[in-house]
Amino acid sequence: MLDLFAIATNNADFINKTFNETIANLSEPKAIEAKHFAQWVESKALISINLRLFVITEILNGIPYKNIHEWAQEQAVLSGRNKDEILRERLKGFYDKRMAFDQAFQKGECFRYGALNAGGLGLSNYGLYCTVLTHNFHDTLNHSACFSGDSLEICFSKSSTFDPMVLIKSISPFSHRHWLATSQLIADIDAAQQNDWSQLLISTDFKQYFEIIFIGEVTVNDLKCVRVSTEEYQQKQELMFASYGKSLSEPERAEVQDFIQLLRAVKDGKIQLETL
Amino acid sequence: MSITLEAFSPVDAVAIIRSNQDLRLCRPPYKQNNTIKVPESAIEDAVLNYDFHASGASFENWAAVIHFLNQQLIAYRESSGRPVPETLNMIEILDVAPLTVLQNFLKKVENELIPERQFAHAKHFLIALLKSHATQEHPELITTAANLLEQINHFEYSKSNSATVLEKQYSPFKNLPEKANSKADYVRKHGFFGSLEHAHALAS
Repeated sequence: MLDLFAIATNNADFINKTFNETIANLSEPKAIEAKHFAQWVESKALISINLRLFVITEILNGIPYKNIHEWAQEQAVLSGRNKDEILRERLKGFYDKRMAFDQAFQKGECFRYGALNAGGLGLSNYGLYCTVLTHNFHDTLNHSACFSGDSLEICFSKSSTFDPMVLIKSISPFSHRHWLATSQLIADIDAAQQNDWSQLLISTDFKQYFEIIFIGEVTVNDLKCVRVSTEEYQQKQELMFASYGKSLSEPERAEVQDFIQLLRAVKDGKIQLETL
Repeated sequence: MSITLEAFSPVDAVAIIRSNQDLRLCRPPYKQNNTIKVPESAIEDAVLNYDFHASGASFENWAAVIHFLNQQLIAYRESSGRPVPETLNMIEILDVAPLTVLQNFLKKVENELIPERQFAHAKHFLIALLKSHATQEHPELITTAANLLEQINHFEYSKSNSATVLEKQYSPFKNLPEKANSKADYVRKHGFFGSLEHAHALAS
């Protein structure tokens, strides 16, 4: 089994060297801009996880965020069924891919996945609520690694069989994330306005981003803020208002109930909600 | 028509659905304008990275797939110990809503509900607002809410008053059906325009 975090730590010098070489090949103004970008990433970029509203309310209720293995384990305890059977039922044709990755690495079943985020809604295509973790959470992480792209896509890109070599070569310790990001994005930094730098870290089409794999429990105290689109916020408002004039369907009632919990937490100062 | 549920999230009934070769992300309340066309890779991405459950189940129509999604949501929430509430706490919504949201709601009452004569909806909201803690925190809302209730009362009073006036005006014609034969006879004899006078005569 591979130790993902040890591999990342061993790559630290290589990531540093790549950054220095990249800078050395630039003109002075461009090198200054690139260093400025690296400092910006180091100070501003945090880990974000895009979640469903229900999951956020679970965290607010004191239930730590679960990955798929922890979820399956919980279901197994509740139902008396086998955990693997539950995973197969949920993942169906994607089971082998998930397991090939998770079982290739030590503690792979404890991995949690996020993205490097310095503003914006994160990877919001299927998880509309972008949860940003605190600086303090980052500082206390013992196991974390960063790389460009989707880990599964990288490891299965050459064929349908698992090949972790590209990942192993490019993975960086979280402490070196700013050098990794700068080296990877060097061609785009100069052309982008500083206001748009957050879109370099996570592009609007979600094709470019930096995945973070870490081990660690995420609780309500680790949430810096939740970001949501103005459109989604508006939609929830509409639903709340509609509830005074008609009876809502089950999914609608469930969503309003979750949103009330989120607003309650905001009001009680447990969490910040940002609309973008 | 065959509809395939490719993947779904039981916590909120969001689904990736294939219909007529068209792959879409659908969210409650499942209206056409609430769906997004997604690429084939969306299924894998949603299942492996965003807590969707893979499915592949086929349904004969939209009603069947929506019913299935609703049932999954109800069962999932039940098993999580947080069942879908039978009713929502209408006052709690207002207690937690920020001031800007409450002000938006009041604008909607003024600009949408009252002009559209949706008085029951408007009153239900305004009364809940006046009962909530929100008006203690933001007393300025009381005046607006009270003014809007007054407007609604005015409209409803005018409406019921107009109805009374109309009723009085046309009450002479109330018994016309019973006297239709007589009216028909009169119309035959004197023509239609003479019949109104006759109707009054019949009623008095």
